[in-house]
Amino acid sequence: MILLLISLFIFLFGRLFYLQVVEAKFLQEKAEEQWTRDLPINAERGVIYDRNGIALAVSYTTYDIFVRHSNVEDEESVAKLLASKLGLNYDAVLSKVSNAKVSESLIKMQVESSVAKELKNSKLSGIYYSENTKRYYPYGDFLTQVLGYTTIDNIGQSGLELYYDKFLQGIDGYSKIQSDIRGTELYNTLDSYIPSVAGNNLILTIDYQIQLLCEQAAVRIMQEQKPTSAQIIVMDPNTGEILAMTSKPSFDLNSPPRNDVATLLAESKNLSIVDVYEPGSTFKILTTAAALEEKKTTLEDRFYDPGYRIVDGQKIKCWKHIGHGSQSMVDGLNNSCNSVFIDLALRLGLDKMYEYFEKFGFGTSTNVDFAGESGGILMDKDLVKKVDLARMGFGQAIAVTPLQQIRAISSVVNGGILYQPYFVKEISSNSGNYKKEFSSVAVRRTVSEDTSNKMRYMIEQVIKKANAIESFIPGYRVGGKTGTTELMSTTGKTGEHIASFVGTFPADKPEYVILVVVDRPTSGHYYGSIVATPYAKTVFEGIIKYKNIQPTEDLDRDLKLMEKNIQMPNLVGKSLSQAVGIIKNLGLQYELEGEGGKVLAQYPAPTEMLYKNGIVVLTT
Amino acid sequence: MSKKTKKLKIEYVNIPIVVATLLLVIFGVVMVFSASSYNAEIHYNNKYFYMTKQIIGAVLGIGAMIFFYFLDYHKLQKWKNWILLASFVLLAVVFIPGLGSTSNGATRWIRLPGFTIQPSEIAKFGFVIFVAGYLAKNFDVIKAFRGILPVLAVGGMMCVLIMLEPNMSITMCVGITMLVMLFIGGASLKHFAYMSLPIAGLVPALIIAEPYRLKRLMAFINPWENPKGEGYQLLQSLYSIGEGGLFGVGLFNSRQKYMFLPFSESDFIFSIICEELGLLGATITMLLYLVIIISGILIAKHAKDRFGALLAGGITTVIASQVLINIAVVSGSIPPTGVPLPFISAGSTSLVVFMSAIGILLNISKQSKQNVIKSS
Repeated sequence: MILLLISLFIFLFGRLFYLQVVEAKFLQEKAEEQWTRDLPINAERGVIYDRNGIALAVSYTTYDIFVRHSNVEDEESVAKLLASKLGLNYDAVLSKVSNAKVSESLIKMQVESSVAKELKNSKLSGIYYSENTKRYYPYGDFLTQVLGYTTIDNIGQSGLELYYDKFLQGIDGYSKIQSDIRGTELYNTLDSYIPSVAGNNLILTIDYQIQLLCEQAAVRIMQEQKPTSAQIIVMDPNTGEILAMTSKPSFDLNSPPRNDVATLLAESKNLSIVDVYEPGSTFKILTTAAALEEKKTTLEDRFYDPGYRIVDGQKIKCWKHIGHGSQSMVDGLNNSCNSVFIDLALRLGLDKMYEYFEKFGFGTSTNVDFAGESGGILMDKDLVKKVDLARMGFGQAIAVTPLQQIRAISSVVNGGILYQPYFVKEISSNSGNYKKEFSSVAVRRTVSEDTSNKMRYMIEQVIKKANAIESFIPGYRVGGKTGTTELMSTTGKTGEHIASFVGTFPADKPEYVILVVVDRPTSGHYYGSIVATPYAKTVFEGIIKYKNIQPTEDLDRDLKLMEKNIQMPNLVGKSLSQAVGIIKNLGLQYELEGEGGKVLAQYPAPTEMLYKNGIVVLTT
Repeated sequence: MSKKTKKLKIEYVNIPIVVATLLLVIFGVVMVFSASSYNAEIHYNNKYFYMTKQIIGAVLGIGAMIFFYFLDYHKLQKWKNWILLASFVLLAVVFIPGLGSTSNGATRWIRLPGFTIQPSEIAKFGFVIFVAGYLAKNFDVIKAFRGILPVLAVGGMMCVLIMLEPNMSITMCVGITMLVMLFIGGASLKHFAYMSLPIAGLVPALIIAEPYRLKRLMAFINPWENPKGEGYQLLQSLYSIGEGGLFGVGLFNSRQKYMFLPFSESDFIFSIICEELGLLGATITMLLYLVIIISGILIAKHAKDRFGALLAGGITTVIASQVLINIAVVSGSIPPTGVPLPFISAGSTSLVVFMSAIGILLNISKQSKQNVIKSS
């Protein structure tokens, strides 16, 4: 009896020996696995600053709210409190609070700390808080498409937030705590703590003040011209730095329309980089530069325009159907006479034309630090007919991105160097351990210094003398060129235009180049001079004020030029030739909308005062 | 009974069994505190909740032990039928709605103001007293099957009642005790063979009646198969035991008691002992039980009469079977079944009843020693 008993005890001892000595290590590892809980410590996302250190995107601490069913004493009060403070549906919250099947339910992420504090003050048991960070854009709807937005989990979704995501993200840390089976922390048992590493900060080439000017101008375009979209870019032509870039419509980055995916996708697209347009007349600058460089023309070269050119049996009309008559190269650009640029394109020939497209960077991406860039659309060179080449001369039959266009024109006015456009000047860590600076990258020479000088002169003349006087700023030297393209509609709808303006300031040695693109204005006007130019002017005026740039020209002389001493007559009902005669006598210029022989409408209205060389638009 | 024998004379006291019992009881209070304090804090907002109850049980138990030490065990023989009746009544009361208390799907307790008692703990010793009394009185007919029939009938009824709660482990305990006592009482081996047949048939029947038992059985064979389900309890117990190693993680330092190991203060307290005090502590604990059990066997052997021998044998069997089953269960040596570890597991009914039983053993021992001294 006793022997049996002792042998049973010895068996049990053997079993314990097996478990506690032989299997001990394995069992201990398994046990220890379940005793600890990892708490992530979210890394703070890096700050995005403008070039002068103004924070455009920051992160701040928020709380994710959890409920642990096992610790909830009063399910209904907890649900009621959470529903009311967090703006959630009571029944939905109650079902989470009373769900005994899971140890922990997430109630809401990214709750502001003030709200979390109120919840904590309620002293109701069962509510838990986990620190998180939330992206905040202090200026809201500002630089929207360039900055981009993040998911609620702070992962970059678009724009620079996406392109530089891995730099901005940082490294999450974690703390390991000893807990009971429900995950409740046991006292003073912090096992290990690995702090998070904050993401790197970005310093942009963007200048907050100039961006603000562009944002305001674009908002006004949207209100006054009612277009589908509007884009404004300001670039430093001597470095390729993008000083401002805006695209409207847009949204407040702090509340992206996440529930309306179509709108979100459409409005978060940075049209200046990912979308293409037919540049139209602003492209004439490039044709002229190429022709000068290739010695196919000179400033004194003369052209005759009867209102059209016939190429390969096709009649290509100038915008001014009655023709510009005889004019110099400089006048041709002033008048934006299509016939002149048809001639230049044909003189250059297909090979040279394409060689310059390539030099100016069309058909390839600019390598800007931004995701999803379009390279533009060039016709397959083998398929280009003479008539297509002719149209390319004045910016049709080619599609470019606004960014490609402004960079190409920048190269023409900066002395002939094409730069790689860029948004980020510097990436650096808070600790200073990591720092990466980006400097300007010169890609290639497009035209010679001499050609560039001539182009600067010509572009300034356009503003001074011709149809873009709307952007003339007394005391300062401004250059520029308008563009207006009629859209080739696939639906057969006509009368849709893209109006644009490219401006340089100061015209003799440009430090700022601006491009304004207004897509399908519906205000009744579509000429770049009316729909785009005035807004570029306000941006330049804003820059002058912001940078406190002193006037370089004789202010009195300029003011005289700008004096509005011509009263607008009533031209409605008169024949076109009659009306044109009156306008010329008054020292005004005109543009035509329509192809009729009789004036149906006019702009500006009668009795309004105009300055010399002011533009009258006649609708026939 | 003369006045003289009522005085405590140290030479009549079975010192090893008293020391071993008191050591286990005190150790039990400490371990109950260690294993339950976190749980008690969470559920009752008082980390001393279980320990306080255990101390009350220990104090009452010491009183009961002293009482039975002085109570002539032959009185139990006279009262055996009443004791049996009381045991059945208590077992039946559990099923009266309002009085019975249910926990984890089993109705095992009677709720009284301020505390609960577990009748099966009392009944198993009531049964031991009855069987010892019956067999002592009817030893002449025991060789015949009809002679042991009343024992089988009473034992069977009791098993049925306890099974209805349900409480399989105490049922097993009662069954084992019945068999051992019949064996000690001199029943013929042939009849054991007969008895084993229906018992062999009963086990599959019980498993079919409550399929969870089969699952539990499977969990015992491979607890890793369903570590979050049936295997959970056993795995957690094995983690505790393994964590202890040779010398343990130190008293009060168990990590498994933070709600990972269910029933850590009651049926699975031995795992916590293993975790905190290691193989060394577990071995010392088992040696203390061995002291009590071997002392019990010796008391039975030297009892001055047949009733004393059977009573001591029965009590010792109950203690031994519960200790062995409990340790075998927590170490994954047999299929899991909930049986408290005598003197240590939280539960004051169990504690008082076991200490009473030790008191009876001491009385039997005292009377045999007096006999020896007198006759020498």
